[in-house]
Amino acid sequence: MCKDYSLLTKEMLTSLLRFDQAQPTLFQLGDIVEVQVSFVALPQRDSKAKLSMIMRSISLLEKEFTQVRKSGTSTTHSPSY
Amino acid sequence: MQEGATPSGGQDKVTTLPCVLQNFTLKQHCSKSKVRFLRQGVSLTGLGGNGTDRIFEKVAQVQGLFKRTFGDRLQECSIFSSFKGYAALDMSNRYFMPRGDADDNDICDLGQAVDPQGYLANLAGSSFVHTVDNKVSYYERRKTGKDGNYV
Repeated sequence: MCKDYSLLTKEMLTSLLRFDQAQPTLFQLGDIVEVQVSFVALPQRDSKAKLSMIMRSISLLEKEFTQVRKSGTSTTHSPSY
Repeated sequence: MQEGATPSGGQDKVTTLPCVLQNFTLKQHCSKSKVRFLRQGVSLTGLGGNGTDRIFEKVAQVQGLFKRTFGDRLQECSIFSSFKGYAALDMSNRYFMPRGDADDNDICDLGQAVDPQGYLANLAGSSFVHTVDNKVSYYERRKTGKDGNYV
């Protein structure tokens, strides 16, 4: 199921991309990101449960769109990868 | 999340979702008694782009798996939200868990990047601890040349 839509998996196979550790302050609104999550059923009162997504990691894939938006130029610019 | 809830139960496999970062927040409560509910989270939206529906379908399929297991006991989930009319996904992770619920081997530091001034650690005191289950990793994708060097 993971391999169907993961940019990370497909592009890492090309060996042209790598993932380095980053600071949490790097991320901004509008960034293209990839997240890893766990689906967890949290026990609630009265034997109930609630499904939640627990965030495990977040990867910045592309910040070019955010930079274009902030500079006020066209948003139709495509990333170079 | 209701009081008393702990991250346990049926945990599914980790999956990956490429999406647009719509919100990145530290959901902080003022009261020190609420320190166990402190969390960092994101909201992601695909802004209706190609492939967005497929992501939400996959998440709905996972929800269906849990529904089959829990039946009517599964409450309405808080995963799905909206952003300016577009479907969005909410996810988060708590900073701390009660010390009594944590394995000593799993306890770790928040780290300089997450808590540079030590405010969160002070807030947690000795009653709550940060564990590997609470850890969120941050990565940046970088392009490399064919020889492995940065371009």
